[in-house]
Amino acid sequence: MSDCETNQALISAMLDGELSEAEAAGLRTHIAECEDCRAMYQAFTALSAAMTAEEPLPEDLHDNIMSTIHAAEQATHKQKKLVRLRSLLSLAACLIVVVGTVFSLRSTLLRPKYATGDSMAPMLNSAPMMDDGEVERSADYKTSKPAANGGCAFDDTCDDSAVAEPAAAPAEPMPEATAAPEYDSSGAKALQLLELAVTEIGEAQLTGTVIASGGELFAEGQTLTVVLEAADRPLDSGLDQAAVIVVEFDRWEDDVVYARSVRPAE
Amino acid sequence: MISDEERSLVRRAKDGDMAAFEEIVRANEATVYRLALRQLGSREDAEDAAQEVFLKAYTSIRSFRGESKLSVWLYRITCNVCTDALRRRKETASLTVETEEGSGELELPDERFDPAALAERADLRAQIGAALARLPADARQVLLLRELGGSSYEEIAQTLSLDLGTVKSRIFRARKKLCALLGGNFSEGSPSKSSKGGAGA
Repeated sequence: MSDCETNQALISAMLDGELSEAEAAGLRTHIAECEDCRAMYQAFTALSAAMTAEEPLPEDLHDNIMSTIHAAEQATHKQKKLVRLRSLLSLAACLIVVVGTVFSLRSTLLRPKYATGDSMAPMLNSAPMMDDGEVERSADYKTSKPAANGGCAFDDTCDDSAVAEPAAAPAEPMPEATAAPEYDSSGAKALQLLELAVTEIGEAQLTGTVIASGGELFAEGQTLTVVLEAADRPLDSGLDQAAVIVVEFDRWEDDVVYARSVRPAE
Repeated sequence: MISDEERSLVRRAKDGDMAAFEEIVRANEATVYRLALRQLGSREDAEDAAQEVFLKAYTSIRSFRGESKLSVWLYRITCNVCTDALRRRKETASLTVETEEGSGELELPDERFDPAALAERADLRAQIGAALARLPADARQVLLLRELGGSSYEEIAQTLSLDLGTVKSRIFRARKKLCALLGGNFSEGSPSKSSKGGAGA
């Protein structure tokens, strides 16, 4: 580049405040002496002024931007709910494994939560979907066997304090006396949870520990209402991180209960 | 570097505070719109682009790490949105005269660029818009980021992933071409008078 062209490139940088004071001072001296560079300086200055002349803004620019964001936010929220619901309902085709002790209850009321670490705490495990690490596995579930008796299908899982099954005594008694109920078994709380289950459908509910259950799970096609503790993430409402689903019993096999389907409680 | 105030605003926005995000919109919407308008040449398209920019910003605010000013991040999104819009329109080729680095110099108008006369033109804005549309997209972007965004060379380099030297030369070339398109005779092809002394640089 010629000297002047070099200087003109520097003029551009000077107008942008990208030269040191010493550089700018030397350049100003040159501009005062050089007609071409002076003309370029004036042209660039005028161009900058013309370019930065404020363009009028559309009156509704701000409102339209915010409306777009709000609309997208709402659409995303609805979509999430649909996906969650679909994902949960699609589990009917998946193998749902109920690991651990499953309570067979006559009552449709919810049962109290068992203390953390309680080996008898029942758990629901969605084998194809969940991270085992999220689930507190109970060693005791391995001792569970299909019932040989005709009364309770799962003799060692029957809570004989709640179920009047006269069959063999449980292998291990339910530690109800020592458990601190987190959810009372009154209808009010149970109903509240059931209602919330309708709006809190999510895969999170399938990865937690069963903290209470209601319904009966004795025979094929029967259902068990399960309150699950969402172990992996809080639910939208933050409601005790709990929700209710209904598991349709399929069969008992090798210490686990297989569910035919799982759906949100109604 | 991001200021404490901006950092706090971003943190709130990341936490889902819509009021905080709206504050970000208010502070930047005018520049984003004008940047888009100068690149796309249409008010309607610019408004659509501004909406798209802030929607993208809203959905990806969590990925903003605060390593640059928020405006730099938003201008980068704006440039990307405009580049995509131009590509979709398939107008880039017709709007672009030639690629950068001096190839295909523009045909210069006869009249000399006159700042005073230029300022008096009633349709100055439109003329600048038309001239900008004839710049290569990359030259246009750097100049707009400088003139409208008020970004430093370093920020522009960061925004467009360029080195400082490229930013500097592109801005200079863009200015020269614009002057030529608007009626100047400062292109490389024009007769050059002899230098009358060295600059202090």
